[in-house]
Amino acid sequence: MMKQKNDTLQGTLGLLVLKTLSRGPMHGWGITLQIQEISGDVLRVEEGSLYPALHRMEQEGWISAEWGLSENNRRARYYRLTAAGRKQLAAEERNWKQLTEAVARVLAIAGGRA
Amino acid sequence: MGLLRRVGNLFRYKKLNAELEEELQYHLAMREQLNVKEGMPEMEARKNARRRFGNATQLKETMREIDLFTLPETGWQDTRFAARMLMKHPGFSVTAILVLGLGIGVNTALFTVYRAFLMRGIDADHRSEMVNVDRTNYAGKFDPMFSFLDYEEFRDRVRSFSGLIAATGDEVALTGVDEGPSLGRPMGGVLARVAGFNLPRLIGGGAEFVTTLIVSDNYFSTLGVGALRGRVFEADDAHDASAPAEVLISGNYWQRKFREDPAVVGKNVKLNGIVFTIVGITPKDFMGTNINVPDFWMPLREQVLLHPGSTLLKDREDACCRIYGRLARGVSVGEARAEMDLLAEQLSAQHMTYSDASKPMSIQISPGSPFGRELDINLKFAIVLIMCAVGMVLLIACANLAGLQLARSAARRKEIGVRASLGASRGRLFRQLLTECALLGLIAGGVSLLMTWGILHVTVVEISATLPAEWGAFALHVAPDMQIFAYVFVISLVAGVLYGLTPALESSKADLVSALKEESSHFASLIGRHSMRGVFITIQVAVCLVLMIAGGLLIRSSMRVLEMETG
Repeated sequence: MMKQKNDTLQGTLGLLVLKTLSRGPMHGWGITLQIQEISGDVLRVEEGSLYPALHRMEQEGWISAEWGLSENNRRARYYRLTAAGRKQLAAEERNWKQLTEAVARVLAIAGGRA
Repeated sequence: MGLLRRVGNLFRYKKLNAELEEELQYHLAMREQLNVKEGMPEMEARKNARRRFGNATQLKETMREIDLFTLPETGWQDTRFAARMLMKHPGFSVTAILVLGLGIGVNTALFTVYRAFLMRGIDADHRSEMVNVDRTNYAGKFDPMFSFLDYEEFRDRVRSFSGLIAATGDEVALTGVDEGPSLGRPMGGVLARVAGFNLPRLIGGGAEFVTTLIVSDNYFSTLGVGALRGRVFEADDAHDASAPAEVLISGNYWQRKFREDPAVVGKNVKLNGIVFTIVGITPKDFMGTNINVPDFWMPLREQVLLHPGSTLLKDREDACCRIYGRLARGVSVGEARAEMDLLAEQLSAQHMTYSDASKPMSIQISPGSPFGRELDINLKFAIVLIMCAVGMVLLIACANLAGLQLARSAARRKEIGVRASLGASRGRLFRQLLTECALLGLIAGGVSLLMTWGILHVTVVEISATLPAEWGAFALHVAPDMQIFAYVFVISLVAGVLYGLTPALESSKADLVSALKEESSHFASLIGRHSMRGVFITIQVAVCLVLMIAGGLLIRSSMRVLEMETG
């Protein structure tokens, strides 16, 4: 039941990943946890989409990856935001804001008339 | 830069795979750990972690495609796999390659010959301006021959042509060359030697027959062709009666007989016992208005030397020559014809009353061709039949290939099903099959090129080497015509690929489970395929039957063509 909650996440996955990485390098597992925690368990990242997205963003040059040791001393692949990624994040944040504000305005008006 | 890295990734494929595996493993392990911590039993925890990833193979495949520069890598992989598949079924592969190769090869060879030999115009500069001048006599019969006197009138009075030339062929005996160069010539081809049917070509005393094209003085200047060495005949030559008669030697005969000795110009040869001086050499393979390369060229005014007492130059009834013209700039065929018709009517009054030429007739002007129109009409039927027959060979080849591919598609359904269920995307399967067909086609193409070359070599080179030299040299460029090859190749490739892709198309319709089960459950589709095969067999039988009938007709009609008097 909780599982079905995040179907609309797909389109914004990139934005969420970039934002998470702006706080510092992290591996895929960590990104999953962080998004889930910060969103108060509302947003859940699917593994099947996260890793392809990460690799795609790496190809785009928005993030770079390197191997590092995790908190529990295992080798993990850490992703780090690049300069291009920072720009991309800013752009996507702006887009998101515009979108949500627009949606909010529409909802406000529709609510007023109803 | 992404691109560069992807190409770079190609070279560290293995490492990349391992890294991908490790990255995903880490995530799985962490999830499992978390699950256990949250109170799941260990087995359940592991299963849950895996389930979250969905189809792991498919995920890895997707990610590999992201990481790698997809096309070249999978392309190369596909090619290798295709090669393996073809090797694994040598029976299918060899049959398909031979069938396709033969179909393409025969077609390319025949159309090449057709184009090189029959579609060739007159060998001249700006050949599109050249036309044949013939006439239809009072009885409606086609007649390409004119007398020399008529020709002279036409040449001098008709303004529609920038040049009007006449030519007639002859065979003469070459009895001597001063300072005899080595007369040995490499005779015949392999076929001739093996079959042992060299025709006798030497006549008594080491003489030999040579072909001679006897032409008007303006022949070369009108065609716009110069001599390789020496000079050609000039229209305005001041003919010194006391000077020795002149001939031109063809480049081909010069090469064959004189081993390209440049000193041949100026030498004397004895033709029919009369001394002629070689004044020039024509370019190799130059055929003029002839269907092949003659050994010598001679002006019409000298014809009387070869045949003492000949009235060719004086007798208006001696229809000796074919006439060809170069249309003057801006003159249409219709205008030229009208002018010629008018003059022909005047000339008919000068002919003897018993002559056909004295009766009403009309002039015909057709695009320049060494084959007269009459021969064209007779040959046309045979040519159409040959072309149809050859086209059907291609059709049969394609149908056979389609049949083979269909039969194999049934066998491959399972393989495709397995691969699809293991996470191969539809596009990937499609690409794979496409690569296989393309590889098959490419190999068949290579085979067919060899086959084309072989067929052309045997039919043209060897047979013309076997023909008596008196017939002249067939100067055909018998390299496979690449344009035709490309055309035929594409047709058969498209046919092959279309049917090669059926398994992929079918798999997109069928659900995987039933594909994985044995065929028996797929009764309906089995019937469908069978009826498809039935259609192919029916078509093939029909085409073979037509081919047999056409072949029979072809033999009959070509026999008649051979019997025909070609004048």
